[in-house]
Amino acid sequence: MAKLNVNPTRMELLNLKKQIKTAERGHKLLRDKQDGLMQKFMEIIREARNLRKEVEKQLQAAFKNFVQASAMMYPEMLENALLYPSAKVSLDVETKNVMSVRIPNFTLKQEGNILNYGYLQTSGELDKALEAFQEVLPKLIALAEIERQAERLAEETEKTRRRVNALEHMLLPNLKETVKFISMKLSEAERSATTGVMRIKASIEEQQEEAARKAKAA
Amino acid sequence: MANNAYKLAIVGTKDQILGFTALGMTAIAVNDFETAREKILDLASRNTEGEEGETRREYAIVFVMEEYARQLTKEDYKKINKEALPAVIPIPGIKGSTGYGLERVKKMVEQAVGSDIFG
Repeated sequence: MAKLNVNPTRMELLNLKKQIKTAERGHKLLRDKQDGLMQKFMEIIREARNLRKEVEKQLQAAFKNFVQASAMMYPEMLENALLYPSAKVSLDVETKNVMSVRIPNFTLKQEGNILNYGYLQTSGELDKALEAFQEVLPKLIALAEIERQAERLAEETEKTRRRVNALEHMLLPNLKETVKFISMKLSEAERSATTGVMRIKASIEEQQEEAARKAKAA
Repeated sequence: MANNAYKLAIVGTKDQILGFTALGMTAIAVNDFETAREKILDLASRNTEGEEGETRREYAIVFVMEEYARQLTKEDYKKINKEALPAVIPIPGIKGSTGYGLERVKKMVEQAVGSDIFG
């Protein structure tokens, strides 16, 4: 614990006490924020884990279908069939504010047909494979949304935790130590002033007694 | 393009992203990590004009094949994650999941909580 480098004056003491009050209030607020963030994060992260496992499984199945389909067609044909899609995907994005963290919410918008090719040169497997992809898509979007939210919250939680720790373990103890130091110094000065006065008073009384004795003797 | 529709993109090797082209995503085929990285950074920082004339990200989600996502450095992610969007999400490729996606979730827990509580 290091005390701050300040002059031990009454003025500084008052300032420091004010600072402690502010720091304590900030600390309490930040801790509440941290708790709130953590709660939200825990809600989300469990879901994110499960969703990811599910999506990865489904995606793999879709890829398997796709590989099978593409194996049955000429690569050029496959590319031609898929290169100019009529389907369109886009997202509506809304941002929500959770504990001053802006997290995105996605809504999927889809239009057009994914099976946008002649049936003559393509296999039925391709249709199936694409349908499988189509099926995963909403889940993929949901996964992206939830992972992004978790990511943002994790970042903010870490930042908040650092701040709380900095206040709790660095700033506040330092301030308190300094306040203690100054008040000790001040009371020491006070005591020294009192003893000084007492000493002077004693010596003055002594002189007066001396003078009185001399006057009597004379 | 002044509307509220955000785009989706996917970066990966050609055979892996072909299926997503059909869905209408912006599919970007790459063959090595360097180009992938360039493309991802480019996509992640691209802006467009929003509904009320404000500038906003053009892409909301950039899916990245795991093998490339894995190689992105912390600095790359810092550049990507500057704002709320886009979300760069790793997805497993044809060869199946390498576990990177779950690893990433685990890292988030570690970052937020300070230790991995799911084990």
